[in-house]
Amino acid sequence: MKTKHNLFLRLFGFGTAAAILAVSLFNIKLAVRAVDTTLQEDGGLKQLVQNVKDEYINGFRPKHAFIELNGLFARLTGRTVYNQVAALSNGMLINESVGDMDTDTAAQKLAEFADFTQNSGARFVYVQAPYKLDMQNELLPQGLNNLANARADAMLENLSRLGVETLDLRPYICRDSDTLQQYFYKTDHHWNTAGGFLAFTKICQYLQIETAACDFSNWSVQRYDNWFLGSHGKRVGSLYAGTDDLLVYTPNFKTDMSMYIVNHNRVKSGDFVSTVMDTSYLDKKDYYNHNSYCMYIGGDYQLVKHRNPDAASNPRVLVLKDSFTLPVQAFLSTAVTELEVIDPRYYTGSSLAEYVAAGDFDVVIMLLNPWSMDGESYYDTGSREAAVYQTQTECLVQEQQSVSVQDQPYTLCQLQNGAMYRLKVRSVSTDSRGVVAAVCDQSDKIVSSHLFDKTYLQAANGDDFGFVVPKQGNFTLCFLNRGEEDTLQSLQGITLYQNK
Amino acid sequence: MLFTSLEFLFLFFPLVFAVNYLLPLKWQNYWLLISSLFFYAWGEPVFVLAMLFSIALNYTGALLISREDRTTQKGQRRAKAILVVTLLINLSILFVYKYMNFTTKTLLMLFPSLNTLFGATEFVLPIGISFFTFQALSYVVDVYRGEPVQKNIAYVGLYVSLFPQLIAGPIVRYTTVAAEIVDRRVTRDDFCFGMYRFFIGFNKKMLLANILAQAADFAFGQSVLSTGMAWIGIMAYTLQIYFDFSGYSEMAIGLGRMLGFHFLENFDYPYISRTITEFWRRWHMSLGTWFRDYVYFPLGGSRVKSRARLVFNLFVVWLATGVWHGASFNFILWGVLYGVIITVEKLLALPKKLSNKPLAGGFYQLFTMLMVMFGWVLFRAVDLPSAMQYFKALFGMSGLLWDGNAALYLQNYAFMGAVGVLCSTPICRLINIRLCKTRKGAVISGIVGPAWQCILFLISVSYLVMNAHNPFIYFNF
Repeated sequence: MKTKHNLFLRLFGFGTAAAILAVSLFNIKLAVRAVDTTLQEDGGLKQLVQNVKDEYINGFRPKHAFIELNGLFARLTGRTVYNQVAALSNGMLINESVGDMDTDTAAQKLAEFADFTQNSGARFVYVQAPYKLDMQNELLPQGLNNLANARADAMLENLSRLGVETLDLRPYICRDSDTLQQYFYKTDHHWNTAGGFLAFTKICQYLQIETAACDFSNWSVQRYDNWFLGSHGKRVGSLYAGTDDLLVYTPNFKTDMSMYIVNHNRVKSGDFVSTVMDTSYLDKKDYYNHNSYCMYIGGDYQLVKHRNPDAASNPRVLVLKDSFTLPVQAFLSTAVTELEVIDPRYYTGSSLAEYVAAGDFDVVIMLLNPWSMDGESYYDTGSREAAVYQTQTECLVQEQQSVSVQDQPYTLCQLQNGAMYRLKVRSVSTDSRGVVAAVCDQSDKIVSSHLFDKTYLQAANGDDFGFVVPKQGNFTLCFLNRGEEDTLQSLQGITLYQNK
Repeated sequence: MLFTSLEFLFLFFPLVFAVNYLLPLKWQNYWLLISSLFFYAWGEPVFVLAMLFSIALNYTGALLISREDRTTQKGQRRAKAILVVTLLINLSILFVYKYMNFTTKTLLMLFPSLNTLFGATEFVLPIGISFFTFQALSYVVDVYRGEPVQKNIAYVGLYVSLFPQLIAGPIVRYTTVAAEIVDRRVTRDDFCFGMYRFFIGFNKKMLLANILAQAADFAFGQSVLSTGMAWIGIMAYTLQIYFDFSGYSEMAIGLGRMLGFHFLENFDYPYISRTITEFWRRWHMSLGTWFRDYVYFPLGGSRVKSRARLVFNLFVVWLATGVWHGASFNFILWGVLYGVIITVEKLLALPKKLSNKPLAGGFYQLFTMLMVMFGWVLFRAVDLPSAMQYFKALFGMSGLLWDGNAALYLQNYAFMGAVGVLCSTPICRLINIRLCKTRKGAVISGIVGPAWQCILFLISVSYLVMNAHNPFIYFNF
């Protein structure tokens, strides 16, 4: 009896020791890297300790298997709130709490911005995206403090009182448990493709943008089962609350568009899939390294410009966004000819008000969900400082029939600090999608830019690039060749206006 | 460094043990000493100096004592003087690091005019100083009492700083490990059983203590606390502190055994105690016996002529116990509270009287458990006013009996709480003993126990990976 007992104990003892040793060796490079980093930083023991801790926390393998095991244990032991994630009574995951915010001040600032926008000739609409919670908070576990809906209610009420146009999407998308499950991912904080599409149709309806893109029968749907583990799911593992199916909507109608990701100086063009989708998220299922929600647009960029000559509707639309806008942005790019999208959280260009003043937009939309509503960047619009541009008038400063660009950038002219300009181009001849016009500083760093899309220019008989020059530094306006090094690119009908 | 960290489990532990087994015994001691000092330095390098000073001081003190001719009066007096000086220096160091801040703050609060002479101090507490200081003190006193001195400073250093019990006990007497320092063998059973104990302690700490800590921390952090949440919080804390501390002790015992050292047990299911006296014979036994052997007995213990003297002796011991745990009025009150109850139990001979009275005994057992829990309120609260607020909530005087927080925390922690209650009783041990009476049962026990601990260990490691809540309470000591 004792012998067998000892045998199992020895099996346990030596087996576990061997397993620990194996895992240690498997992760030994973490320690090596920590030592290496410490030596490079000339750090002492304290620095080494911190580096080792950081390396092991961030790089320990097999990390994801342990996250899954942990989630399973949490589920089996009855946890409904765990690792900053809470489970609604219908099984969907939300973040543990959303606190209060000062909507009075925020609404005041937005009202100021709305006035500015209207004085610039554009309509301003605040669009309230839903939080992943039913409007009555009935699905919330008792004891959890989630003021997302309260924030949204207060903001909408304040904006209405101040005369700002608002569109509340919540009644369509998070009315109750059924709509929540239909339009939101279970494991992510975002709405799903169906939710984004519904939002897009409601926005078009509200703005009276008539487009065949709003008709769902013009779209094909492909389903990827159990493809996506969302932001909340990554914290608790797929064994805690499951995974999400991915619905991919692609248009049945013809599309030929461009998307210019400005701060990356990257152009995507062609049909809908090639332009506004990142299909790498559809090639391979990867719960922890992929954020499949970003299959539309690819992620949150500070400034993106869409041009679509085939769109039926012509308004120039500017959207000030958070991450909820991604699918909406993709669908909206099929409905309007000119769409520009700024994420104020990351935007480092001129102020939002300056951008609106220079951009000559017809509609400015701010689309926010309650969780990101408290971001300061949405309300720091620079409206008061930019008011000066609204009293100026446009004056022609330069006109050229054509300009040729080869391997080196072509400098059109020197720019005046703090001035607002508008560059108009009638057409381009190039083997790439278009030619980029850029405001560059003396070290050739681009501070703002615009793609003159060849196809769009042809259809629209021209396009323009409005910009404000920074107040400090030395800046020029240039054209950059996007084709092969020795290919000739040319632009026709160039006019430059300055507001004075 | 924490035992419950990835870097300990998968870097320090395999490296130190692997090298240890490859070295001959003499070199093992030096390797373990270096490793232990490195282990200590991991938390705060500069505190190793305090540790080294303690080793040098107590080594020298013991050596000098051993060189005195104790058969002569002069030798005896000198030995005593050396002992007193060594003790005073040890306690002074402890006082400066642990109690100076509290003392200066209290004096300034009581006598603001002293502000002109000094300000409040801000000494940083070296981790585990209470443990290794008491351990070192016990060595010197034992040598004074006639135990053989250790002439190799590295061996004394190893005794004081050995990493399994360095930071959080148990407080190991030199006599317990003296022979093993000089000569030890690690059998296969030592290694495997040690690993098993380590796993049990690790799982207790990670899965019971750390999880229940979340409920306790929430409750003790609220300014508005419902009665329901207060009770959930104190029950969670009662379990947390037990599994935290006993878990750490078990890990220490397990690691020690894997190195060939046999430390004594530190906990014996204290929450089944029928009296407070019994509780302190089951809780943190190494500290209890330390105070008994080095404070209570030298004062005369229970074998004194008058009751007044007995009460005095008990008061000193329990005041010291409270003070040892922390530099605040909470801990002093906590210690005095136990002192009062134990004194009453002793004077009335309650443990003996209740042993044949099941009903009265049962009520008193419930009273014992409640007093222990109330004591934990003092222990956990940041100060006396917070403790009083908590007591108000416990007794329904906060104005709120039940709220959403209580419902939420009950739902989320009830299961682990129930498991904790079960594991705080010897039920698993009794089942195991029963099983082992038959051959088949022994085999089942032999498989299920280790297998279960392996599964729990994987889940525990998953918590480390998740970088979850991982505080250790007794690091303040």
